[in-house]
Amino acid sequence: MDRRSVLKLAAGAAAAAPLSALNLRRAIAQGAAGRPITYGQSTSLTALDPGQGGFLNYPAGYEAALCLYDRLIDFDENLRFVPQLAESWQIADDLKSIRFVLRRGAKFHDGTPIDAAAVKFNIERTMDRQRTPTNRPIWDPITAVEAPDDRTVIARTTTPFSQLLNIFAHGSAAMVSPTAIQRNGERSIAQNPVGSGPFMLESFNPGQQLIVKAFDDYWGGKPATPRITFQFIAEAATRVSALRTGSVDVIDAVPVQLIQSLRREQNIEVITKPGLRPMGFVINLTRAPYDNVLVRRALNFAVPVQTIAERVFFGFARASDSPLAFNTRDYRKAGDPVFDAARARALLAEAGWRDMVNNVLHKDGQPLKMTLQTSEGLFPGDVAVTEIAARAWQQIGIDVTINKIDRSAYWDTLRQERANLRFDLAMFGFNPSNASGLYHLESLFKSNADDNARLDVWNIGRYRNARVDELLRTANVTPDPARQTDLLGEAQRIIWEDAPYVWLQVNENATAIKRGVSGVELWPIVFTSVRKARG
Amino acid sequence: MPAAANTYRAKRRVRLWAGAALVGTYVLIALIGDRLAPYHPDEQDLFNILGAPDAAHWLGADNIGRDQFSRLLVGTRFTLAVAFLSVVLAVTIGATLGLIGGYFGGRVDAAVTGLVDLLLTVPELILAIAIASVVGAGMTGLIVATTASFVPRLARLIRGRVLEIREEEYVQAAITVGMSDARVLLRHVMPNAVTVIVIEASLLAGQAVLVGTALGFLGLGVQPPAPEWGTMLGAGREYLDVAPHLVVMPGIAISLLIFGFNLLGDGLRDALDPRSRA
Repeated sequence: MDRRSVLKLAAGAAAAAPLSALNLRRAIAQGAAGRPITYGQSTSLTALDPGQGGFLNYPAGYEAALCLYDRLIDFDENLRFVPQLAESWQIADDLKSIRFVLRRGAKFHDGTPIDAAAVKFNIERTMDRQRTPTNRPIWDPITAVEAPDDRTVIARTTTPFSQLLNIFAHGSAAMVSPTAIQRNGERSIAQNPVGSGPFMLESFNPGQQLIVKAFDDYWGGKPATPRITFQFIAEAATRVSALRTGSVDVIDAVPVQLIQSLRREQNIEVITKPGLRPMGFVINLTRAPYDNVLVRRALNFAVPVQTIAERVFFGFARASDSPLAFNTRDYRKAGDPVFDAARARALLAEAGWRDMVNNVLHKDGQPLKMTLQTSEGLFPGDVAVTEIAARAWQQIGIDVTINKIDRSAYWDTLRQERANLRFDLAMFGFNPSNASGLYHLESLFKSNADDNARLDVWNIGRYRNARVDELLRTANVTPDPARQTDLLGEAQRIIWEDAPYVWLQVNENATAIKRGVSGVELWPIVFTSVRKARG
Repeated sequence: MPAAANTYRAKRRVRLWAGAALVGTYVLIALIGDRLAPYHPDEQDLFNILGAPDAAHWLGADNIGRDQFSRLLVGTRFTLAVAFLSVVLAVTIGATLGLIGGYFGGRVDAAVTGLVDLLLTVPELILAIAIASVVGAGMTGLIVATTASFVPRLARLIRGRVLEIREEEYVQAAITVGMSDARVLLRHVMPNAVTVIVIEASLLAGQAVLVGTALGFLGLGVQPPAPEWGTMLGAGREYLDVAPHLVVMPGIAISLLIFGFNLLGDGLRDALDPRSRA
């Protein structure tokens, strides 16, 4: 080293000294308030209004909403009900009303207080079918809201309704500042949300990035981190690299094949939790021969679901044994996920499909055909599982054509009028975002008002069973939880026997966190919650 | 330096033959690939998911335990079919447009040139993606999208060549003696533009492989479980960390084919183009 470079080094060190002192001071200051957090999200944020059609792009919208908005009732990470804006509540014995007592001192981000009038305003806003067309099974039963005094709100239904708590804990029950809506207009909230959550909006670039900052006046105390950035990163491999290089602190939807290798890395922690979304192929019951229960049971017997759960998902999934997922409230085992190709063939023969011509079964000269629809990248392992099922059905003599639909158009293909359904079977999974098994069963299996029209909720296959409808209706008016579980257990058994789905697996969700970051929660309903994160 | 010139010419011929041999091998595999494949391309072994290359599966197994070697062999036909058909179609449409525009000139030419220039403002791959998303996944979609993305480039090239040829004395003479437009085009203009077309077509074939597999990679390719290379590459990228062979092998198959087409195209240009022969 010559003299000149030594001098240069010394000069550099001298210049750097005050800087590093500054950094140190900043580090100490941040240590007290926590460090900002960046969350690499697998889905993009496009709208942030709980009303007006809700949060689009599940689950991104709900995850951001947990930071931006409070609800009357919150979930903990095991989906138990805990007070949030309501300090306490009381459900009437007849299940026809719920009375909330509001917390004192809670404020919206614009400084206005959260009083009974503001809550009434919000509930009425979401009740309005025109304004908020989604999540109707939980909102339709509410018929009136009253605000007898500043801190009391009463919501009423005309018939008994056992899911009153689930309604107000659901993400769509987020409270928006009425003043902000009056000042900026109905449409403003989607891009410029004003809620009362622990974080308030700093900047929003729809489809790319949302930055929220700590809300100093939050009733629960100032949050542990000063700022959270929600960064949309579509590709799983990119999310993982971003976490490895440290450009993000948290990522969701970690691919199952990477969990083991990530767990071996020192700086990364992976949390997994069984989800509440049972995956399956919904069967279009309006088309022959899939209107025949024997054929549908045969389809179920032919797919090696246990092997799929163990092998394709590396054990981070479990074969379904009920229309509900294992950890959903009121789940009850309804059957066994059996793989038995011989039994599948026998059932098809019983249904009249006996003549094998060129490896395809025929009945009255007609071949047994199937159009199998799948998405790509919308559900875990969707294309792979579809290819396995297709191969399994081909081996028992069904002529299967796979139709892969782009993920942006996928939901629309499922929600069509009966005449426009283009599939015999389609991959689908429903996530009960209020953790209620009753809500799940109602959304998927309650008869549609009109099977020819568009869907009421998610009864895509046009399932119709009067006994199931009756059980669901009774469960809704039953106050006794044990009795309710029995009713729903019976409904699950009947639905399982009717086989309106080819049941597949319940996946585990996986979220990875940089070591040193704490307080990140992974909820069974796919949400990764960063509102309590500390950097 | 006659010796040096000869070596140079021989080198160029090597390129031509190497390209032809490479492309020829792929064509052969496309024709008889399913008979060469040790397994059915859709046969799954769920107990050998992401299996590394071994004696039983030379190029390993994919995410649902299918033999990758067999899938690559059988998949050759999809990629080659897209390349050949789209180039043939693009040449037919592009040459027709170019001939008409270049020969007739005036408003016809202005219309053709306007359309071509408009399409040329959109990058080829973007244009292909846009068209493929409208037509939908499947072989037809792939071919239409790839064809359409090449038409403007060909039309412009051929129009330029035709403008040159039109001014040649023999063409002027033919017109003067009253030969019909169609006859002049077919007998005098077309044969003199063929060289340009052949060279461009062989170079475009490599490009078509690239565009076709890129569409497959983006999920706009053929329907599953068809073993199309781009789709295989796209599905494999999720497993890059744990099973790199799922990306590397289709990648090599695609690169070698493009390399073959490029060698062939360069070789043909050297052999056919009188200007580069000097």
